[in-house]
Amino acid sequence: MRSGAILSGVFAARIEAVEALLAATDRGVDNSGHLRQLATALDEATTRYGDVSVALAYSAFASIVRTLAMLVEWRAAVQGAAIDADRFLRSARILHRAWLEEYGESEVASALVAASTAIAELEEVERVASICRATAMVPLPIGIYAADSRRIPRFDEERDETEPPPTELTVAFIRFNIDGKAAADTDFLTPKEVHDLEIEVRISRWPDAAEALTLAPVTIEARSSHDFPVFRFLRPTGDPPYHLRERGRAVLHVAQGLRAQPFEFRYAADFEPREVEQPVAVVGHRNLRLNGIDRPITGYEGIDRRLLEIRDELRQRPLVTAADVTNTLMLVAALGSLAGQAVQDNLFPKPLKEREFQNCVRGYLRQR
Amino acid sequence: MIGGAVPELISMANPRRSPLAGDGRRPNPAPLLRVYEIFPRAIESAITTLLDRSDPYEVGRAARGISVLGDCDPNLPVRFARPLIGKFLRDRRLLRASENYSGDDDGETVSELRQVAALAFEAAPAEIDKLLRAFLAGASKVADARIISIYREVLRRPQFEDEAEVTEASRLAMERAVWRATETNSQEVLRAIFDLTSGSPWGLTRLAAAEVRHLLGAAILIEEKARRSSDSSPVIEEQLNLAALERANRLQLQHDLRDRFIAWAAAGAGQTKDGTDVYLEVLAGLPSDTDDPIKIDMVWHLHELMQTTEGITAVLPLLYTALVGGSAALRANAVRAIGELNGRQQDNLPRLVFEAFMALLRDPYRIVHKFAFRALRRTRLPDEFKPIAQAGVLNLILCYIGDRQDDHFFVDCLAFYLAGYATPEERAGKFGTWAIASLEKIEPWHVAREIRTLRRSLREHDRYVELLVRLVGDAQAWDIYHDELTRALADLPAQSGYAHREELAALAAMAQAQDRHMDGIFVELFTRAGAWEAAANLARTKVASLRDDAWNRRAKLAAEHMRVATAFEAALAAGCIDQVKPIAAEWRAIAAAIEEDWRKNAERRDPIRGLRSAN
Repeated sequence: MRSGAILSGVFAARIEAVEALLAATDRGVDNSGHLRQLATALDEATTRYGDVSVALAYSAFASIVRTLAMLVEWRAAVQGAAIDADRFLRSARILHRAWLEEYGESEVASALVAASTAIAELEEVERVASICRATAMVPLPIGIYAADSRRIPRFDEERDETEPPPTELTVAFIRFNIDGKAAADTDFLTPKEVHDLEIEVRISRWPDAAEALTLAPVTIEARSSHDFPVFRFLRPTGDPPYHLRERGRAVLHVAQGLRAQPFEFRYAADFEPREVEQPVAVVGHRNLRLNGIDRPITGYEGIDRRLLEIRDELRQRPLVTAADVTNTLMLVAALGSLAGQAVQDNLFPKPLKEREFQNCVRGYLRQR
Repeated sequence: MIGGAVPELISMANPRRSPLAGDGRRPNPAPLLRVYEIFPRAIESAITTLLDRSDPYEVGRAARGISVLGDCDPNLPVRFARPLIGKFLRDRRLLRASENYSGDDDGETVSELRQVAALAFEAAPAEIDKLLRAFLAGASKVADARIISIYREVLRRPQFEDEAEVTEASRLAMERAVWRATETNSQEVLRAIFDLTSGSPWGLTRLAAAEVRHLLGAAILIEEKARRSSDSSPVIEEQLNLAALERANRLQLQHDLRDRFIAWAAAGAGQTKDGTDVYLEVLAGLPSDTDDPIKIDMVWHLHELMQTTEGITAVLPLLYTALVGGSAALRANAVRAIGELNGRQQDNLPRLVFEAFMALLRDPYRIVHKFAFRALRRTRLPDEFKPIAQAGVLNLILCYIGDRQDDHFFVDCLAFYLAGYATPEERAGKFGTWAIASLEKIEPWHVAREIRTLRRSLREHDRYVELLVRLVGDAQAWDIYHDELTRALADLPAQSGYAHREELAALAAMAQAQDRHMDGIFVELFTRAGAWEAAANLARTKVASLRDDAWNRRAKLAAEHMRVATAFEAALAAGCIDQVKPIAAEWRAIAAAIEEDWRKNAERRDPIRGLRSAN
């Protein structure tokens, strides 16, 4: 945001610059020194403007005035038969090329770019006047207000100056296996059986005061329903990054119904004690989503798996409500069971008409 | 002889606090302490005499003396406790004293007595507690509240220390105050207890952690008492309006106290595993799935317990149950608690929590989906939930678009959607047009409140300027949000400024824009857009609107400079090079006039002119 009005303090340089450029249209005038001074004054004004467009326009104008000062000097040198007068022209062209790279695409400086195009192909000193005139005639946006220089110092500003920031503290899960297989989006886990859970993490560095790293499961389930391991690593030796690996045992004490949400355990990483620096990011797969259904839904394992996939997919859909999922599952479970029986017992040995099939399905559904 | 000197020695050692800051009196306790070292009995006798005086100033002086001597002899305040507390709670004049008015000397005495009573309580909590209980029997309401203020004084110092240790005095003071709230119906007393627990416990968090059970127990009893009280016949209320009003005030106080106790309990519970266990045990023991006010308040504060992974694990089963339960209030508070967690804690939440969270964006109850939306604004969602959240917010926008009673919420949702979910093409295209058209149907000040977000999303849209013109043109919106609207104007793209220069010029001429000296912003905008004539016209109008008198001279000269600057650029744009010289001359003349004006009026405009001349 802006603060005080600064127009009276800075616009004088703009007026003087235009006047000086118009004066330079007289081929007998060598005011290159004055033009350079004005370019410096315009640069100074640039730093004070609150409006970025205005600052950009003035910055472009200041630079082009500096280039034009070089051309005016070139003209005077040529007229005065100075040695190697063209060095001013060469220098002006280099300056102009650099200027074009900076402002050539800028919308706010487009008029200045057009006015100064001739510099690139300039050969005769007679054309300097027309370039000065064209540049002087470009109107620029007016800046009334200054940039707000008030700011709140950052509390760690001093540290920034003296110390390089430490490496970002991250914990990456690079292995997360259950029963020897990498954890998928959703896994099956038989309740009341012990399962292996294997974890490997990579730590970018170890915080100075940290004594241990704990990887603990976070879940919505009551503590009595499961027993999942908490992994605790003491400070490792050697240089960072560190790779830490551990294995534990996991048990689900209760089974889950079809319509219930799956079990979910998300491993969190914390350094101990809690007052020490904590990881800014914990990345990698660290989520265990488990279906702990211990009795068949349809009596066919493959169909049951597919049913759960359908359920999980439905739950992810934005416009599907929980009630919709429940109703759909009830129907799909029954149809899945019929499909299994149809294959196993060859319920439909011959092709039959749609109407007969529907009667058959309706009868089956009513029996359930 | 010593007795005669004691009052002055005390005044030197501990002068009475002055209502004027920096009165220059520095405490010098050395003489009093030295004399006390040599003649303790004489000093104590003199203090007893002062305490027996009827003049409150002398009583206060005695208290200040005890306060100083208490530093080297902590038992001294205990020895004087009875007469001191007697004065504090029973002196008729002091009971009428006001502590809220800094010019009241009796109020200062009350404050001094309280400080010493607190010192005595800290030195011998059990003994002074017994004494206070004895005084409580038959005490007036004011005296009853004064006793609470002693507890407040005991707790105040540790409250502002870093993690103060739990002492016997602080524990007893807290328990006495908390349980007193369950016994009394006096508004004065309830208010005093509320003062004690207002704000966060800060340094008393450890104490709060140790007292979770007491705090929650008291909250439950207060709620029960308030419920019984509010169940009485409404017919009586209508007959006795004053009584009804008092009862309503008391109920509100009891409600506030219940909330404060639960807040302190939650803040304490978040610090220790035992505290967390107690809090959750009480929460789990409350009737399930009902709109129990205690349960609702406790769920509101659950995020305080989720500062660690252990805390999150302990809380989540209950929080999730609330999140998917049948009570709308519990769902709302549970989702709010999720929004209050920091990014790291949210990142550790299982995805099931976010699934339940997303469902609440479509909850039929307003309180629930509104809280879910507010939580969403504070939550960094996992990527897989962003489309669900997007659909949920869009659904809210469509639900609320026709509801003029809740424009505030509609604007919030729309601004959030535009900033967070709409693509740049959607913002610049049909959706942007629809959004602007919708915003134009709403009270301007509702829209202006969110202009910071809206301008980032819509500033490239063709119709954005129309919306902005409407907001700036509305007196109420301009009055409340002129800073935000000024920024939005200054931030307008150049093309929009040029295309809408006429509307903007009309806007610049409006009274409210003139009042706020907005002409500079418009000049910047117009010249950035290449609307040179519009800028020059505006500057001319500005100059003409200012009278040429001493009061307006500075402003007028500044406006003249702006006029000349705009005329200069307009002349260049028109190719009138011949005007450059006269305009430059005019600029310099005005600059000289400004210089002269400064020189002439430097002294008159010096803000500390009077002070300078006084020196």
